[in-house]
Parts: sequence; structure tokens; C-alpha cells
Amino acid sequence: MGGRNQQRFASKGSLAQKLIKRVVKLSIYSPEKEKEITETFEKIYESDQNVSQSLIYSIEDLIYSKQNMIAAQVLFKHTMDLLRTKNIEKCLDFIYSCAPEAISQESLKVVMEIHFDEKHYLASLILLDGIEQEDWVVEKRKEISTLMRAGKIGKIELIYESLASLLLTKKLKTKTDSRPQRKSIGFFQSLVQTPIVAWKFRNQLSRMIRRDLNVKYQKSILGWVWGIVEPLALTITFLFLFDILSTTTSRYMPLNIMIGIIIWSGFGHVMLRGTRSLETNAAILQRVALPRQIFILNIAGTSVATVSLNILAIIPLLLYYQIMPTWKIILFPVALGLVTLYAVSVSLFTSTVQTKWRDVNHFVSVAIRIGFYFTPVFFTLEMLINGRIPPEFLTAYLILNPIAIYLSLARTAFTNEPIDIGAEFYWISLVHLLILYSISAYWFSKNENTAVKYL
Amino acid sequence: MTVEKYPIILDDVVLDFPFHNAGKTTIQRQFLSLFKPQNKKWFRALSGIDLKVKKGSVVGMIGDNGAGKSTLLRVIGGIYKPDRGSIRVHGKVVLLASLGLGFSNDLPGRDNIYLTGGLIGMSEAEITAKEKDIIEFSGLSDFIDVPIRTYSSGMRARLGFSIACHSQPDILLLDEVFSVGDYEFRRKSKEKILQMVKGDTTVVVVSHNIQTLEDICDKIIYLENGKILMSTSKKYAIELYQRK
Repeated sequence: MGGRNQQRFASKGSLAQKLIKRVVKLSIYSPEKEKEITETFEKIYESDQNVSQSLIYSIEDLIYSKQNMIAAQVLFKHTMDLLRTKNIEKCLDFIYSCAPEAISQESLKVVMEIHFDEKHYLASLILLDGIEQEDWVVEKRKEISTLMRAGKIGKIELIYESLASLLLTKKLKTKTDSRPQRKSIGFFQSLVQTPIVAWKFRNQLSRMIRRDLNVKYQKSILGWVWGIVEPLALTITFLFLFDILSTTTSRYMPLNIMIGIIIWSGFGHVMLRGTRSLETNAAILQRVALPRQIFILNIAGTSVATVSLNILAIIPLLLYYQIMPTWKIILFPVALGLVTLYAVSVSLFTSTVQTKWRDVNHFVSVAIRIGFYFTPVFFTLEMLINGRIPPEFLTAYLILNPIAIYLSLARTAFTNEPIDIGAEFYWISLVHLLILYSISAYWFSKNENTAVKYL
Repeated sequence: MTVEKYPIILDDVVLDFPFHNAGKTTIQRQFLSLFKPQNKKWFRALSGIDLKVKKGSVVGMIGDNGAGKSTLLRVIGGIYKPDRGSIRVHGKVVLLASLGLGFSNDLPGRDNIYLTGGLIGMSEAEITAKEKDIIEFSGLSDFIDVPIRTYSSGMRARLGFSIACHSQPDILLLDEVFSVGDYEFRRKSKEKILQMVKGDTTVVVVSHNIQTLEDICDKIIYLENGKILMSTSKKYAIELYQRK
């Protein structure tokens, strides 16, 4: 953009053009080399006296395309310094047509002084308002006032002067207060934020979860039965598929598939709804100052309750196989908790991104579908271990997919079948989860305030 | 000490909003926009708001659409965190906007009282104690056990207002709530607000209904382009606003 516009003002390939390019580079990479920049500017002016337009475009290019404010401010300052000594009219033209972002506090002072020297007192007074250095402003204001009163001043100037003094005193008063800055949340603080919210709002959360369950099951005729019908139907489907595709037969296959599907559907539910949690609750978020994690926690709680209900569907199978639950049954809630925590971690990240880019949830839903086939949901981890997968791939797989391990844990809670993997993989899966949670929780605490603005 | 006397103190509050309404909501659009010249990505919704509200006063806010009235209310309510400046709000804040908050459409009004009450920070026991008053004030006697989705917008607003009032907030923020509800309810809610103010509740109210503001406010803030143009006695501000 910059290049095309520059052509119109400094012809392409000319010395001025080359020098401008050089000076832009200098201001980007080494703004501290003041002397060199000043010398280059002298050369630019020597070669072509009508370059201020080209420089303005360079500055705008820096601000809007490259977003390099510092370089733009350096460029502005030097251009102004140069033109000030050469041609004051051109200098003022340049200042007025340049983007205001390029004017730093330091430059603003110079701009004000230029106006002051030119006896544009009213303009200087206005400019003084923007300068943050209080003592200097007060001094200068007095000076201008006396000068204005000495000369002939009109009514407008008089009004403005008194207004300006009023504003200034007000500003000085408020600025002297100690102003507490917004505390930014540290990394470790961000990790405990979500558990703290869960504990603090436990009453409200339980009420929200009860509402969700009520709404879900109250209006249907079969009510709670629906929760069991769905996994049952899916299990039968996959049993058929499994019979066609696989040669190996496992004793507990129907049970394993059912547990897999019930947990996976809970997992996918939390991921999908969690991703959209901020978006769908926009109406509440814009009216009540609630911790924004509460909606993800609500979804996770509802999902845990639903899965706990659905898992009752395996009771007939347990009776059929004549399985008596052992102490291992506590592995099921542990596995369910870990899977849910995984989904919550992902949702903490995706929900904030979703508010800005509304297509994140499509991405998540595709990922869940692919994940369904890559995770032992309708087959078992055992089959992967004894299957055609090379051991090094298996290691990578187990590291990358902790859900596979958690699912096996949930299965072994009922079937008591041993899991044939090293103990280190359990730790690795926990570390994986911990890292994911830390990153997501930190991201969430950093971005939640911006995310709600997109709602 | 100042916090006790002025429950709301805003100091040089600045809030920027992303220009997402320009349509860059999907990654595809974002990608396409890489090839277009970039324009401004943020606009300043509030720029340098200084505000002090005295305890127990009723402050009205007027200004054109998009002047930042609702945004300022939300900043006071703690929904948006200011990008610069500081805000100190002392006490329990309840923000009530024109539509009911957190209503679950499939649940009856009574359940929604518990849900909404919980959202705005009432305990279960507190709600149980006030349930009767809330229902009576809202005037929904027969409809309270009917799902919310069958309510008219006026009924919803009445229920919302009623819950908010009975939660005994220290600071009540009202965003265009007087434009809904029938005459009788408007009279009742005005009375209720005045009664709350006597009990030390601070109220900030946004409305385009000049008459309402004139009736209940002590002070009026005139917002324009995210700045406080003036905050004076109501007569002045209203006159200026109407003349414009």
C-alpha cells in the first residue's frame, strides 16, 4: 500500500524514495540512532523538498498495516524537527495531515511550542490539554494567559481560556488521588480460579444443574428412561458393526462398548456445549457479574449427572455376566472425573475463542467425531495393544490420547480386566491433563474480559 | 470513608470495544481481511469517565443511542472490566435490563424466581422468605406456575423487576425498564424505587423517557460519544437534551 502511494509523490527509484525507505527501516530497527536519522532526513530534504506527503503515507503505513507505533512516532518527530527549521508553513501542514497516533507526548510538546512560537495561542491551549506533564503544563498555561491578556483577545478566546483552566484544575485534583491499577492475575492464581468458583457458587451450580436435568427429562413422556435408551441403541448398533468387522471376540464386548459410548457422549457433550457456553449465555453475562466459568462448570456437572444416570443401563449386563462389583468400582468415578476435567480444560480455551470466531464450534464438533474413531470407544485399548500397531506408535498414541487410558480405567472398574500398559503411562496421562488445564486456565483468565466484549 | 459516602466511584474509566460488528466473525472472513487494508480494530466506547455517585441518590443517564449509557451501567455492574482507570463499587449491585435475566423458558415462574434470585446473589432461604412478596408485587398471581415461555414481554419484565427489587441491593442499576409494563405497574415500580432510595439504596437509571427521569432523579448525566458531557441538576441536562 505504502509503495503504490509513494509513487505519486516521490517518483519511484529516485534518491528521495530510496532515502525514505532507509529512514523507515532505521526508525523500525534502530530508533535510537538519532544522529543517523537526522542526517538522512537532511539528505532527503536536499534531494526533494516536497516529500512530506510521502512521509505521511509511510507513517500511516507503519501505524495501520505494520502497527508499529514507536517507529511511526520516531518518523513523525524527525520529520517535524526537520521541517520546523526549513519551512514552518509546510511543517504545520504536515502536522495537521498526519495521523494523530504518530504524535507522542514528546512530539506533542514540540507541536505545542511550534504553535506557541507562531502566536497561535488558542491552539496551544488546546494542545496543552493533551500533555500529561502537569507542572510544565501549568507553567506554560500561565505564560500563555499573560501573553493573551497582553494582546488583544476576542470573546471566544476568553471563554475557552476560563474553560480550559477549569478542566485543568479538575484533572489535577483527580490525578493526585492514588489510583489502584487493575490487578492482573498471575499464573498460579489462574489455576485455582475455577475450583474456587465451583466451591463458592456450589449452591447456585446445583440449582442450575437441577434445572438442566428437569428441562431435559420433564417434558418427555418416558422421562428418565430416555437417558438409557440412547446408549442402549448405540451399543446394539456397534455390536452389529463389530461382529461384521472384527475377528477377535472378547467376552465383555457389549459391556465395554456401552461404557465407552456413555462416557464418550458425556465427554462430547461437555466439549460442544462448553465451547459455546459464553455465546449461549450472552444474555446473562451481559446482565449479571458472574464468574464466567460457572457455565462450563454447570455443563460439566449436568454431564456427570447424566452419565451417572445412564451408566445404570449396564446393570442388566452386569447381571447377565454375573459380575460382582469389587473395590475397583471407585475407578469409574475417578475416570469420569478425569474425562470431564479434560473436556472442561478444552472448553476453557475454546469458549473464549468462540466468542470472537464463531466457527470454532464446528471445528470442535469435527474433532469430536474424529476422536470417536481414534479413541477406543467401540473397541478396547486391549485390541490396540495386541493389534497391528508398532510399539513406538503405541507409545506415542498413549501419550497423546489420555482419554484412551481413562476409558480403560472406567471399563476395568466393572469388568476387572487388567490393562496391559506400563504404570508410567498413567502418570504421563495425568501430566498431559495438568499441562492442558494449566494452559487453558491461564488463557481463560487472560482473555475472558476481552471475550465477553465480542458477545 | 469516601467509599461509604460514595458507593460508586469511577476514575478515568476507558473501555474499548472490538469492531466485531464490521463482520469479522469467522476465521474465513478474518483470513480474507488480511488482503484488505486494515482499518481501525477498536473503538472507544467509554473515554475517560469520572463519576461519583452519592449514597442514596437517584442518578439518571440520558444520551443518544450508542452514547455508552448501557455500557457504563455494565461497567458499574462489574460485567465489563475497564481497560484503563479504576472503578470502586461498594455493596451489592443488581443490574436490571429490559429483558428478564437468566429466565429458563420451560420452567414456571416460581422456579425462575429461585434461579434468577440465585444468579443475582440471593440465598435460598432469602428467596423462600420473599417469594410471596415477589409474586404479589409482580401481579402474576395466577400465572406464576405456568412456564415462562407463555408470558408476555410485559409480564417477564414485571417478574424481573420484582425479583431485582426484593433482592435488597445496595446499588440498583436500571436499563430501560420503565418502557415496559402497564401504567399501573409503572406507577408501582416508581413508588418502589423511591421507597428503596429512602432505605439508602443508590439507583442509576437509563431511560429515554424524560418524564420518568424528571420525576425520580436527583441528578442527570448527559452522555455523548462515551464522554460525560455534563452532570448537573436534572433541569439543565434535560433542557439541553431536548433542545438538541
